[in-house]
Amino acid sequence: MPVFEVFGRRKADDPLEHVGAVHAADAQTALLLVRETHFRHKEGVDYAVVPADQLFRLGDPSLVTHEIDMDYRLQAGYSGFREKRQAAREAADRRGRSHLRERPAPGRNANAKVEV
Amino acid sequence: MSSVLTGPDLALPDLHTPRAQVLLAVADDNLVTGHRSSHWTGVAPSLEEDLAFSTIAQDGISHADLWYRVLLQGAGFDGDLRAGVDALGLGRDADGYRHAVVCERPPRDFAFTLARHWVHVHVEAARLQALSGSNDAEVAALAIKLAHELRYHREHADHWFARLTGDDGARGRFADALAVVLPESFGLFEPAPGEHEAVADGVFPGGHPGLRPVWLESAAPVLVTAGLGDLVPADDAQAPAEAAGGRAGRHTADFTDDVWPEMTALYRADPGARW
Repeated sequence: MPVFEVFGRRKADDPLEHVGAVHAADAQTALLLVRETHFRHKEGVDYAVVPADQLFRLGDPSLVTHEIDMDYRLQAGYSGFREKRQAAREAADRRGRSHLRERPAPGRNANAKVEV
Repeated sequence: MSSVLTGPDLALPDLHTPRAQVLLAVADDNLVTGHRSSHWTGVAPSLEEDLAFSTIAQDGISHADLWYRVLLQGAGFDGDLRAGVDALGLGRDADGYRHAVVCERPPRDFAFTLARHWVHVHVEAARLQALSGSNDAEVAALAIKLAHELRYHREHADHWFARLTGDDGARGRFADALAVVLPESFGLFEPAPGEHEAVADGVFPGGHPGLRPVWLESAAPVLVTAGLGDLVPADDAQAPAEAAGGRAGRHTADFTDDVWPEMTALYRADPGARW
């Protein structure tokens, strides 16, 4: 029997998220049966199904793995940034350079008037 | 009426009143159909359908439970409600049950079960519609709530009706099942004992006989559209003799020797048991 992937929303303004699958002869039957298979305990407020064979799969998992350190793509790669920046400022001060000194952040003052 | 087995210190209200008899009929149809439908749990045609139909079976029993409560509360019962409901659902002698005989028929195959499900759901919808207009506030309030709950059951029944009548392989079997179920379903339109008084008092507007034209009007065009016009019951159709008399407590061996002993065995072994 065909398989349908099931996507549901927990609350009305949540995005659709994958919650599982059902076997059903067609989409309408799948919609009928999803309620009791995946939403019988108040798991959500809305759901949708798509035939599993209509999902376009990546196919080659090696396309999403990395062989080199690419931590600049990750939040973890920016840990300790405050300390690094502070150290850089102090080094710049010692050398008499000013462009890394503390200065007001741009655009943070809600009352600032923009001169046109 | 025959006797009711109760736990210790439980005093049930008078069950012979027209209101009580009508509500027993409503509850018993749901209890017994739900019990029969639950026989598919674990063996339905697919896991997903198993879950869906088991829920529908459970809902039938739950709806019966709620009708027994309304019966007791409106009759001034001030004992333990759980014990009272159990006594009504499980403590009566077999001839004290007021459901139509069609409800007690064994599930046979899935075609037969779905044929009965389709008829039962639509008669139930018409009955809840009528009870929504009851001048008994508790009856009307519960009927309105259950009509909402029944929507999924209707959706499910109509879906399978369309699928099975639209499929060459299933159509003949489903039509054969309907040919058995439809005449027996006329037992659902029998009045409960004293029902005419409940109708006159406004507790059950139209009564069970009044549901008959309402249901026929909705079911006939569906049967015709599905090419099963020859199954549309005649306006004066009656339940065959062996499927009549359920509301008066005349049940077949399908109930007295099968559903009833199975359903009530634990309760009768230990009346008042809690679980």
